[in-house]
Amino acid sequence: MTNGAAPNGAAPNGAAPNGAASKKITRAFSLQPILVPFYALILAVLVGGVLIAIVGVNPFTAYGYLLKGMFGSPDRIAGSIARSVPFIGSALALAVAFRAGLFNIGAEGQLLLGGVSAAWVGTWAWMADMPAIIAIPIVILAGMLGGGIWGAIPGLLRAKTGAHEVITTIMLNSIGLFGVRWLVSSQKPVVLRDIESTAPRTRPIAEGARLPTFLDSSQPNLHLGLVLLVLAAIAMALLLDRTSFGFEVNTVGLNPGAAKYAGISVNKTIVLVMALSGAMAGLAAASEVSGTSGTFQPGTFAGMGFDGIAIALLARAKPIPIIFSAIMWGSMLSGAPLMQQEADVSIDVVRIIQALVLLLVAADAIVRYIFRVKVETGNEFAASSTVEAS
Amino acid sequence: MKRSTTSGLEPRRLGGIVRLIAILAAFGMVAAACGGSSSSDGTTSETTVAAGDTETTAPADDGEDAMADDDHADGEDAMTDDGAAAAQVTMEQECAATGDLDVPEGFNVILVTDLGKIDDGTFNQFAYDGMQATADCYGFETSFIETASEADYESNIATALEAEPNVIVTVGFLLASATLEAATANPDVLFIGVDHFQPEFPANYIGVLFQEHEGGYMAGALAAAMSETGVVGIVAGREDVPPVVRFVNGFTVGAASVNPDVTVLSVYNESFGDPAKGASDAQQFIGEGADVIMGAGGPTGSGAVKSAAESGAWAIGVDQDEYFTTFNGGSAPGAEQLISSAMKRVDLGVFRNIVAAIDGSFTGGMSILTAENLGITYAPFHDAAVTPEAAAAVEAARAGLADGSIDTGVCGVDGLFIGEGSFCD
Repeated sequence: MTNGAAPNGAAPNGAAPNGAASKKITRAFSLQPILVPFYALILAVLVGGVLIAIVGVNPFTAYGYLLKGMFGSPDRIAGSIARSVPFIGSALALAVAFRAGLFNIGAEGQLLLGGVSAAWVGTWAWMADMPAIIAIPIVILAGMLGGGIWGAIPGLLRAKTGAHEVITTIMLNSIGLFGVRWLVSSQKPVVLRDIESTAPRTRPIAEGARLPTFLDSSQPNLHLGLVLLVLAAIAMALLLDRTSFGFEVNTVGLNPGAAKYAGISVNKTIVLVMALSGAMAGLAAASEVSGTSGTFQPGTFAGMGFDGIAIALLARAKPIPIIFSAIMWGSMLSGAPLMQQEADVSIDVVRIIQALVLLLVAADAIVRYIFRVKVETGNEFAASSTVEAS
Repeated sequence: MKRSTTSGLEPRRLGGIVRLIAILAAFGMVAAACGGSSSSDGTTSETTVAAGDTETTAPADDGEDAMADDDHADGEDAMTDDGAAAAQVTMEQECAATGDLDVPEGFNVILVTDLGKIDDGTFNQFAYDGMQATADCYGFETSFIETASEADYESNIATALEAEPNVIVTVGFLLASATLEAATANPDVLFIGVDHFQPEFPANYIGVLFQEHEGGYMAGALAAAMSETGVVGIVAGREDVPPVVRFVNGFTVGAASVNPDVTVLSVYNESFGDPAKGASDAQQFIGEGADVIMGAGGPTGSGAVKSAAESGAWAIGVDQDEYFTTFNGGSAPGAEQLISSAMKRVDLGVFRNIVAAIDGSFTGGMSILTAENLGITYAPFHDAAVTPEAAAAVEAARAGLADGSIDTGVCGVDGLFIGEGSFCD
């Protein structure tokens, strides 16, 4: 009904009185949820183009090379997707906790703990003799466990002491970073460091524990981790939207008081959800360790957890859309170096575009005003549809 | 009932929080971007904002003229640094000395930086300057890629390879394994790796290494000669990075060579990216009586140098001539307290090896820059009132190292003292 301009506050006057069934159908097939991110991307690209023009480069040339760098050849497509794979996990780490009303800012630390656990287990002596069918699941599970434990700690602290998870996860990021960095770089004593390598990293994991790659020629190799993380996203979508545990999680997220009144153990749910969140980050890290380099080098995960927050927000904390926003995010990072090399445009332009997209999605009134996008019926972020369904 | 709960109050509350999180996330990204240059990571960068220490980081944009001004500076300061002028070779002189070369048609060099930028005042910039100086001298195409994440080393080299360059320059020891892999897979492309050490190099791969302990020795000699209290200090980067250890141990030996009774204070740091910690280390040393402070560890060391200079102690920089980077070409406060810098001529190393690639003398292995080949030297004194005795001491140290009459006793591989369990034993 309302044509654009309506700010958020004046939300659900449009479709509210319609029947429940028809509303569900229109929601399921509506393009509405992706309109704002899509237009935000267009706006951000336009602004980025102006910036590129200001530094004296033809924006079309620059964006041409950016696109070529992202998807210019089968190798590049594979490399872009490979770069995006871990972002799916770090975004899921935010999204899952978000459903329970928790803000897991700790993917950064959970990735590191997951990665170091996977790499440590992967270098155990007896792993060398294991066939891939056993070795790979062990390494992946070790990663999920490491990340999961690091995620469960703030969950426990929240449940038992009420300490806010935003604070605790940030603190655990630092503890994780410096702890893991010491484990991997210390030479006196040598803990996990590969003493034959100049860079601070762990020894390579057992050959059998390496994830198989689809395409060898691309950089980085596209490996089976893609399948694992897509499956994880699907699993999370099903878990949160189709199971009673998911119902409990959503209820806790919407109204902890009501959840408690309804007989849901809020504390247990919080701990479980945080552990699950951390496990998603751990899975991403284990897949990187096992699929990309075979070693764990803490620096390669720097910033990945924070990017995950942005990616999850773009996808409105929904697991399936996260796959696509992660690929958008990762391929831009993967394509930028070619743009710099060929068009002499700083890779920071891509970071600016990404930040603008996020900014515009958060401040969606701007996008709605410019592109005359209607306010969605029920301007909810993540949680409500499930509750309706049940 | 349920419906009114879901689309009523709660979603809007969530919506507000979403915005908050978005801001947090944007913050995180900015933090990650800033932290990128400091060889560490996003999470620590919040803490690198120097408290009570205003301009600790090197002003990157002014670094560019550093090289261009270098020769002018030498000329202008001729009064105080005749010796230093002799010890320096500008890129123009190197170009003239190398003479004419036939550059093949379409010759093309690409540089891949370590985390950081080509104007960040570190070896990234110095290597880029070296590549540009070579291109200015002989005329060929160059381009570069700035690495934004440690996850991108391999793919950035792969991107560079797609342009079918003749030479790829990679900067920083973190790129060593990715470079070795690429060099092995692409025998037709020549690779120059700054700070790369490999047990075995393929024929198309040169690692540019530096005898940092010689630079440390010169700085130590200068420090001990300038010190009135007999206490000097060095604020260093990470102990697991051999070049840092070489600087520190060279500094210790050099100081003792001038004054056997000197007290050398030294500290290693967990991070290269923490100028505030460097500054507090410097103040700690000054409190213990030190009146000359050397900083040897990226921005952490620069923080120490800046803080020492602003407190009136003598300061000694590292890697580049910090007069141009940390002290903004003399305009930053404390510039007159910077007596010199122990320079690693990364630009010279890149220049000479690109020349080798052009003239066909390129063979795989290590290209070691020393005091002898002018790759290790000390920077001009600029505005500092260096005593003639101190100037003589540092020049004597340089000359002695260059002609081989002085041996630092520090192992060139791991930087430990020879005879005390070093790699050289």
